[in-house]
Amino acid sequence: MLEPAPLLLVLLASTAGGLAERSADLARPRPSRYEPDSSEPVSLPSITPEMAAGAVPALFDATRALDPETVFADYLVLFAHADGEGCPERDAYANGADTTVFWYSDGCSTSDGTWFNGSGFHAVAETTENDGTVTRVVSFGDGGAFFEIVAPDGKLMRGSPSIELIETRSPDGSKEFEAYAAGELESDEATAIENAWLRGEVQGSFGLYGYEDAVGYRSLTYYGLALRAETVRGIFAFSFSEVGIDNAEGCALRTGTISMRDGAGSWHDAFFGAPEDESAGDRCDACATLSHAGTDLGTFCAPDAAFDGLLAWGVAPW
Amino acid sequence: MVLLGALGVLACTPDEPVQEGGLTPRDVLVRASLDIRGVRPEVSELEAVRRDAARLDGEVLGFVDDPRFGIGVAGVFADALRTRRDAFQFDAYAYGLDEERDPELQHAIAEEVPALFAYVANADLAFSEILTADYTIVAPILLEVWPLEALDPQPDGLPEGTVMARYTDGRPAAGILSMSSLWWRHASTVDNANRGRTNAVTRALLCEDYLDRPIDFPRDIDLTDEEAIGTAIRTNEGCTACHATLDPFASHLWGFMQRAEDARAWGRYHPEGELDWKSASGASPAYFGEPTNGRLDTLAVKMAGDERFVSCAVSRVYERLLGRPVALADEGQIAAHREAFLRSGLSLKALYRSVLSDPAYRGVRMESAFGGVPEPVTRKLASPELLTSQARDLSGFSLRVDGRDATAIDDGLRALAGGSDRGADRTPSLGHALVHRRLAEASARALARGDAPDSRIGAILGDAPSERPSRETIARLVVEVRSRPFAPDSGDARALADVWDATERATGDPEEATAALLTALFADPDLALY
Repeated sequence: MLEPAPLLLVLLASTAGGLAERSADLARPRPSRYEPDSSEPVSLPSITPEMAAGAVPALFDATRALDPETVFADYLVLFAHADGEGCPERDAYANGADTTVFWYSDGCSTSDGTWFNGSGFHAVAETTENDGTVTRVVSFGDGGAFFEIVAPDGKLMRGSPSIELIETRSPDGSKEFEAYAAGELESDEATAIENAWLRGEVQGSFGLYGYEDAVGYRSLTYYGLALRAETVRGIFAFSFSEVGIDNAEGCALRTGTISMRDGAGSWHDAFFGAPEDESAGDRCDACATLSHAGTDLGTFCAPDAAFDGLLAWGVAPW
Repeated sequence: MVLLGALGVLACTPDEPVQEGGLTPRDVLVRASLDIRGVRPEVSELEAVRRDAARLDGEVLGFVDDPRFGIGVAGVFADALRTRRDAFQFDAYAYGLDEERDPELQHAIAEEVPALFAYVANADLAFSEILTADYTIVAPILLEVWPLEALDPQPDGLPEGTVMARYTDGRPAAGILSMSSLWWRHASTVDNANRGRTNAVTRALLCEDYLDRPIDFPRDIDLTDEEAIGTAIRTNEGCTACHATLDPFASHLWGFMQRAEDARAWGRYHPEGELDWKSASGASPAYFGEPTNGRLDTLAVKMAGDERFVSCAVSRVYERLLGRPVALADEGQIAAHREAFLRSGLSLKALYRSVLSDPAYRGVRMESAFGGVPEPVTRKLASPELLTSQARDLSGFSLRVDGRDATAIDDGLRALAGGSDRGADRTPSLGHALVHRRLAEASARALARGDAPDSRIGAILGDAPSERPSRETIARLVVEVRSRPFAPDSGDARALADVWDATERATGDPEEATAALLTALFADPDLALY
């Protein structure tokens, strides 16, 4: 009689053990499914083409109302209260008309009673290259750091601006404009009366590139705009990566997608510009297709003046 | 380990029934009372269980109806979300408040997230409320500095010193995901694009920690080239393993991106920034592969509907109550508690009751119906907060730094005692023993001075005693403090009386003698190990 090999016994034993374990596993309860009793928020369209047609010009008005040049001028009036005794502490450099000022204070009062607190920076510089190109740069704000200046007459400014304005004038008569403006600002009522940014009605950021030549051609592109403006035709916020316009003869190009958010949090997109089918030709009007979550809500046309006004700058487009 | 075993043996008295391999009913009662209410059981509760062990379940499971239940629940999830920091980005001065109010402000920011957990627990709302609530619960100081308005009327059952409020700056309603304090704690730079924030909430609420994933990091990327990094994140398998789900999740959070060092701006939500993911990561919003409309409230509902949200909550509660990390052998019991959680409609009270009944929690080794034999818990170490809450309850005293509990902040004693914003260490340490000792001394001294006649021990001692307490009184003190039967004629009672006598002889000061006696009681390992 043959005796089973030891290895076979081990295999048989292990198989039997495995079967026992498996049958025990099968007898165990199974975890229940989690069936959540919740429904996702529905993002419904609320902005109509008619609303959008009114909101687009209002958006550009609001963007212009940020008016960083005025903000800077108002700031300089207040900064003039800084006294020579270290309130605020500062590093200042001057070279002709050019100035660069860093300042810092944990809170101090000047001899005339003006309160400085926080960290500030401003610089104005103008350079002329060999070919006669002149570049003027205005910078204001210490990289988003907070400052406040409160004068004894009640005038004040506080916030965390980042402003840079660059204007380049070439000998051929052309000009380039670049700007970046961002940050929160607040001012006293009298100072703020001329500026929606200082009134707190508009907050946000944008970049800008403008160009004009000596014979009247102008172009302007806003990029990276993010704007919160509760007063703009029921739109809670705007956002776009790039919107451009020029006044080339025969076809003022309006390109870009402007996104508009309602109070409930739904974003709507207004697409300006040429259809993807290039054979249809460029789109040269101020019309856009409005959509929400991929659903077409119709077409609207903003008044031509909404875009044309962007090109009607006097000294600079900001 | 040997020390813990020895303490366990010493803790048993001959007249107590012992479950085979498990804790005595008294020990279970003490453990549950400390875990759920943060205080030692009342003498009447001890006596009820001593007379009739069958009353244990009724006593223990009823603890979740105590208003202090929410405090412990808040602690579990505050540790998971790491919100209890000493200080945040801006101080009271930045908001134009008196600098003396800064501890109040920092505490309020640290407690906004935990307060919602506490409220949901005590009100017995579905756990998913923490992601869907259209309100927050805050200390009133935050109404002064953030865009919040208190609701009217206020509901009952709010954590002490808080009000129910709503943000007024247009942020979506998404429970804790809508809270400024959460995103102050987990701030992000534009370059990080909310990825760290994403991991903070998936780790805490889904137990999905991207940092636990093995990374086969590609070595052929120029890390100084932003564009190359961006391309790799989208295309390199070593990167997409995480970023394919991380970045689309993060795209929901851009409204909380802060770009200026400005306290007022940090308090606000920025709806105009919600679409900034387009220019930053370019990752369309999605929830683990499922595209969304990009709204924060949608993200919250997706999370609340995720199976991991439920199982993670169960694991966290189980781990906290058992006082040790979850192991593979625990998975069966976690499944069992998950069933109780689901059956109750995600009631935290039901979940806690289930875990409080767990054999391993009660020190019993038993196979789970779902498989696995969890390691029973014989002894747990009191967290720094638990040392404080016991001392406060017994003596009316708590150590405070700048008006905050010393054991709740690292600037105080939390770190020394083995705590942090991530939770408490589970193993004894010299620092823990020192803090315990310091609390014992300070509590004892406060009582000896007669500072807290209304506390549990103060009520026994009366005003600053000028004579040695009787042995009967000493026995009552021991029962109150250590939750143990204690005979007035025992050798231990005589030894404690001797402590009073010897100190009084040495100092001639009855207050010192009482302080010494009480220090000996409060410094007992029973208050640190349970």
